[in-house]
Amino acid sequence: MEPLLKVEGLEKRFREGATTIHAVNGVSFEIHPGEAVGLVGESGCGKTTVARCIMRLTQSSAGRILFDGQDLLPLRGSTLRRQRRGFQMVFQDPSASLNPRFTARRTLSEPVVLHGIARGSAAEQLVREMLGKVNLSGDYLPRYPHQLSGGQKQRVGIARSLITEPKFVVLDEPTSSLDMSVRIYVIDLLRRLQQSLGVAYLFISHDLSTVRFLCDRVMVMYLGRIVEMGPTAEVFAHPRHVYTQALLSAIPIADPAARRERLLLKGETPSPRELKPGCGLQDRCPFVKPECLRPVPFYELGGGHRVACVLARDGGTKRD
Amino acid sequence: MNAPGAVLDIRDLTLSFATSKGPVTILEGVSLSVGGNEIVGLVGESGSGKTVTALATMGFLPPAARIESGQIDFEGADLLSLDEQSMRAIRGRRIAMVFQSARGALNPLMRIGDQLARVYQIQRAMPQRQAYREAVDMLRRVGIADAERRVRAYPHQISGGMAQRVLLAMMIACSPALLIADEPTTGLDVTIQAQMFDLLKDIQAQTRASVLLITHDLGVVAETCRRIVVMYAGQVMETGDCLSIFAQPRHPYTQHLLSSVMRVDRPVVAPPVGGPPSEALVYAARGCRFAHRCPIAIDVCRREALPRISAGPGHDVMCHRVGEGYGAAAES
Amino acid sequence: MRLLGLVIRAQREIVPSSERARRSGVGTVRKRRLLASGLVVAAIVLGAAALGPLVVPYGPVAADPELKLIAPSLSHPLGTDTFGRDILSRVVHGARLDLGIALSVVALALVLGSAIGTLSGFYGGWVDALVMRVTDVLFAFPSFILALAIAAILGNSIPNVIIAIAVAYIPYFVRLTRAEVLAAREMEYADAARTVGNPGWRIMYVHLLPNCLTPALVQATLCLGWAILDVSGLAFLGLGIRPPTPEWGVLVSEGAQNIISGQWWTSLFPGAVIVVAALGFNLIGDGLRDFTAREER
Repeated sequence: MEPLLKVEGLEKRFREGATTIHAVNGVSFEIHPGEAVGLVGESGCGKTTVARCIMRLTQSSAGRILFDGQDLLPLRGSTLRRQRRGFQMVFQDPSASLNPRFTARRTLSEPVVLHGIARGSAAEQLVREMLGKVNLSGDYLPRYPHQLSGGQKQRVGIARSLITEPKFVVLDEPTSSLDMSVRIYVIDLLRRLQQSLGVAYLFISHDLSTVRFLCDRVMVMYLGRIVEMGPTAEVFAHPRHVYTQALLSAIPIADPAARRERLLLKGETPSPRELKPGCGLQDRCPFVKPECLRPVPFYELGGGHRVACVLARDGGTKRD
Repeated sequence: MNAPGAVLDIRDLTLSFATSKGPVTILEGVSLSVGGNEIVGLVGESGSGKTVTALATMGFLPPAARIESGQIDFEGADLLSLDEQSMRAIRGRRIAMVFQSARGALNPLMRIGDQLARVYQIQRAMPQRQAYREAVDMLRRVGIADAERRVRAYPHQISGGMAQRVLLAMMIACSPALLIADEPTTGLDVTIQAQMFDLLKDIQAQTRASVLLITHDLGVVAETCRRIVVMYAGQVMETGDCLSIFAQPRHPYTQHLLSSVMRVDRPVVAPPVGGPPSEALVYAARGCRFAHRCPIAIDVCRREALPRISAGPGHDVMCHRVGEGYGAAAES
Repeated sequence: MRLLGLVIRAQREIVPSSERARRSGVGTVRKRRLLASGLVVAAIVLGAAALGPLVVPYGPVAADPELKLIAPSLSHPLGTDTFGRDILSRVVHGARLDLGIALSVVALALVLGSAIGTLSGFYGGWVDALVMRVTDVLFAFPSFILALAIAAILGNSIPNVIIAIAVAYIPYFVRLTRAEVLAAREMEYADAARTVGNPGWRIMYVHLLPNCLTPALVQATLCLGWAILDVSGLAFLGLGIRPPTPEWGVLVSEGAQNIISGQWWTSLFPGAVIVVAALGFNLIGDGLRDFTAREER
């Protein structure tokens, strides 16, 4: 099947005075129609930058982003705006991502009208239907964001992203600002919507347990590069990159009886200013070898599981 | 619960806030205790009153707050009856508090070494040079590598994780008997968070201090705390030791909470249905504040004050239904 | 949610309870009284402008040489001037003029200034640099001198005076709006507006600007006070409105020559009215600024 989204060699560099920050350093991946893919990593790994590049909110420095076969990066102006109908985004902070002066009705009908999908009462009808899909009644239409709870605001944000019937939605930490019991409610809603509407997700999060719940595949990022990717259950059960292992072992498990082996990395994440060739973990990895200082290729482990770690060499075939 | 030998014993604390819509009872009959040499987790979602409880203990309540009843016993004195002068003597020296935003708690204009040294100068009347040496030493103890050099940094030059360590260092500089940590790792990466909690456990083991750890993260509680206090909407729902509560949560709210947790290491069970509570309803209610969402609530739950039912040694459940044998479903 | 807000605020301002009770409460009462006085003055001025001409006994230029230079009395509470015109009536007629011009000035400056400021803040780059340098130049001059120079260049008519003073105020609105927009464009709703398909101009003027107007509106009330002073000042110097139109500044200049001969009322009362009116609007502006600033805390 042709991938819906194909990212090739994406790079993003920021200039800060004399130094260059390599926020995204050669990221490539594919997302197929109807698939939910998670992108995880800690702060500064570049996952939000990847999202912003795909959504054309930030200018990329290099690479290609093919959506439905068409490269998004050279698009401008009204051509780009027309394409936006097909790929949408849900933002992290529901209080900041809704215009405080727009009622829910206005927030939701704007994309419908902008893309010429419907006007007047037909638009109103669409808006009501969409609101119903996120379990909000029509009573919420005249409400302003400050009259809604966190979970309700985020549901409006989700409705806004789906109302133009996009094929692909980027979700940037959509539940990080929400309370625990609201969080699972919203994630469950996202899963049901995905299944009923057949939309593909790129789900960005630092919270691996929500990714486990929602995503079929997962990609782990560190210092601007993807270090491991594959089916979620497989990667979480058998992480092959040292960073993935450290990440998973650091997550506290809500079970006091569970025995944990913690893999600790030395020190802290280096700043993306001090970029060295080779694996980004070289200064912190307890198993570092000389080969790690040179660019590390992906090794295929079968079943779509691939990892950029020399330690995996012994368990799979090398792939450039 | 009158807990003999408890370092901190909050008894039946009820406090209200004056709002434009009239007084609202934020905390109702809150009782919890922290014993010597243990870490107790205070768990609840936002709005559960856990931070207000901590602020009441420290004497940091806003002027709109009114203590209706209750006591906070600490080292033989009722903190609520002390004047500002006496509280100042206790704060920092006997009780310390670590807040959520570490960088916000540090003075941006002073180097971190100087800030830490000042704590020693003020609280322990140390001469400047000695205080500075102690500061460097303490920073090393909290795991800041290359302490002699880092000590000259300003708060904006260090990472969030490091700032949190500096704050921790400042708080334990005087070996307080009680350390209150309010969501100390919010916003920090999970690997840094793991380091922080390992550090906290180490420090607690070394100093044998009592720690009240406030958090909404049940994973953190499971790995760090010996006992838990579960709060909802200003009331304590269940208290007990970690192992038994996780294995056999008796209160319907605790069960709900535990079933909402998503875990990395196992596939997921279908989540509970039902949206978040309506706050207007909650704060206006008498009786149990979880009643409006509780699957097994009956009339008496809404009418009468919460009972305290013992479900085992050190395990109390504040639920009318528990006595009858309901709410015993195990969730693991 | 508000209760949570209270708790959160309690966390941010870690000051012991007793101390806080002492601090708050004292300053606010005085501030409210000042704001109230400002509103009263403004109401009087507006009332005079709207209804005054219908109520006062004399027309704006009704002269009676027999009654010239009479001191304040019952039939002429503010006295009469050199031509025997009732000063009270003239002052009331003048209110409409001064207020009307001042409002036009502020409206023009607000609309143009905020539009340019939004553009500048949103696009940044060379557009922003250019706008900033131009506003820097305009700021270098005291606003009255600037207005004077521009009015002198453009020519002596009421529309030109309006433009001249507005140009002196535009930089304030540009700067204020630009600052707000710089912050607002980093907000996620600005990103959302883009991802949803809004073109640049809609993001600027439909999404961002309405959320960025508060400081500009506060500034507008302050500018209203200044505008009254500037309009009268220019008229006093002979620019803009000329005698016999009863504008306040004109009244002051007409009456100025009588001070030496002892007829102080011809100049003093119009002057006092200018001061009080300007002060009134200034107090409103200050009060608004305090009010909006306090909410943001």
